[in-house]
Amino acid sequence: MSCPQEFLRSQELIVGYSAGTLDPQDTAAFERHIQSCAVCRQETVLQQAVWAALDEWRPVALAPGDS
Amino acid sequence: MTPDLIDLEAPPEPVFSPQPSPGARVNYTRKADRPNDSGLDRDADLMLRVRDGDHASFESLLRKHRGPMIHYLRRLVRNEAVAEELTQEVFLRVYKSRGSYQPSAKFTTWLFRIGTHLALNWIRDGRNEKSQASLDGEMANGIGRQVPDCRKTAEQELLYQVKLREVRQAVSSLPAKQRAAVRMHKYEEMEYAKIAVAIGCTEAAVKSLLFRAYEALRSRLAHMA
Repeated sequence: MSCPQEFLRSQELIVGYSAGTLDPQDTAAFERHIQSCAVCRQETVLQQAVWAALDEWRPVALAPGDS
Repeated sequence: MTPDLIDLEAPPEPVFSPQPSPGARVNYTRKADRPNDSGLDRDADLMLRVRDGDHASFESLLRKHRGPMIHYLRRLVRNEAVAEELTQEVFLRVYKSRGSYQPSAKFTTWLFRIGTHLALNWIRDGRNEKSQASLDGEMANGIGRQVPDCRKTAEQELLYQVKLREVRQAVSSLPAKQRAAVRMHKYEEMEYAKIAVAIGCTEAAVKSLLFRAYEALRSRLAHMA
């Protein structure tokens, strides 16, 4: 992944944004960035899909001892 | 709690391991194809013989895997006749692709992947409507049964299981350190600094590990987006 706008810490922000761990300031800055950067926007969509897939996978994996 | 990488939907492992046919022609085209040289599983070895024109080896593979494949597909499509029909199609495809077969993965992994795809396509294409029509016919003839329409549920369950399997395989295929970092970051919700202590590296190295891991997962699971 290469951000054509060389947005600062873009990879870390994509992961943090998808995980919901960014502070409000970084979240706002990142959302502004992905409005104009197709590469980061696409990576964010894919990262969110991975995050959702990992979320879905967990309860089944934990099921035997998670009741 | 860290989730275990449990193979919840692994295809059944065959229990019968046939010997090669006494009259089978062995004509390896490459030295690396030879089982003792490459460590191929016996099935892959048989398939390479099929590729080289040995029909007896194909029959051995068919005898060995037909039953487990029907059992596996029956669980997916929930219809014995369809499972048998799809099993025929699986082996037909195996035979048709014999010329291009390369033992890049375990034979059963390849075989059951074909079966899964066929079952998924069958459900997606709505070919199970025929079975439903049969049931409807019974109802119309007064043989009514109190059976709920579980077609959609079966499709959803299959898609869900396939998705889980793909996710599990994608995570499992990560290098050990990346996998550990993902577990701690995603499932334990640990901060970078704590993961760094646990893994024994710097925080910057943890970020790098995680980014590479998530990038690999994005690539492998992109079709789910």
